[in-house]
Amino acid sequence: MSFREKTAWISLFTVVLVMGPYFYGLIVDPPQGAAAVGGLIKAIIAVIVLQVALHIAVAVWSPKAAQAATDERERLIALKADRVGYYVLASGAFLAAATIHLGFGRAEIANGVLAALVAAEILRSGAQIVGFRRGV
Amino acid sequence: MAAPPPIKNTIRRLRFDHGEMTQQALADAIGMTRQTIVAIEQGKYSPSLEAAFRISRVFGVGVEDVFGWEG
Repeated sequence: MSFREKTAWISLFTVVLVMGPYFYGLIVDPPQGAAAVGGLIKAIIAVIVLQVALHIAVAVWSPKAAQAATDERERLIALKADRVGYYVLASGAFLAAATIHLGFGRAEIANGVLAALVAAEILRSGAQIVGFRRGV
Repeated sequence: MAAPPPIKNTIRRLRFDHGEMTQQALADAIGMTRQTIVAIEQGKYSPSLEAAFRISRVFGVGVEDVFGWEG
């Protein structure tokens, strides 16, 4: 498995691991006020810390691969995956903005945009992994 | 699922003819990852024209000796 594929797996794994329970908690027992903001900030920090730690671990494990420049096939896979992520993000952000007409509050809209970001990242990472597995 | 590109190549045989050159050695010689060499050899990925020329130069042959149109 190439270094870029490992980073795609790390991204997918960390986002699902942290944001899955976060959104589950929002649906089952929505926090109110400061607790809602606190939960959001904690989740984002957890994703960042986990991703940085795992990227460092993978880079230490295979330093040569980590320092190697991205080649043309990897760039093509990344571009295709970015396109998938962009469409999901744009659609999700539009839907989140549209909920203002349904009487949703700022917190719900913010979480809607975050959900779009999470969905876009999951599909972007997934598209990268599929690309690496299929060849391009 | 997209059909594989109809481009065949002789990289595997050329590597064998050049002292059983490893995929990693070829990848290092042309600035690519080993996984990309694997994908090219298996016909899953068609390299750019520049990469095709780089590969052929490593083996000291023409591009047409490495890549060909199938069918």
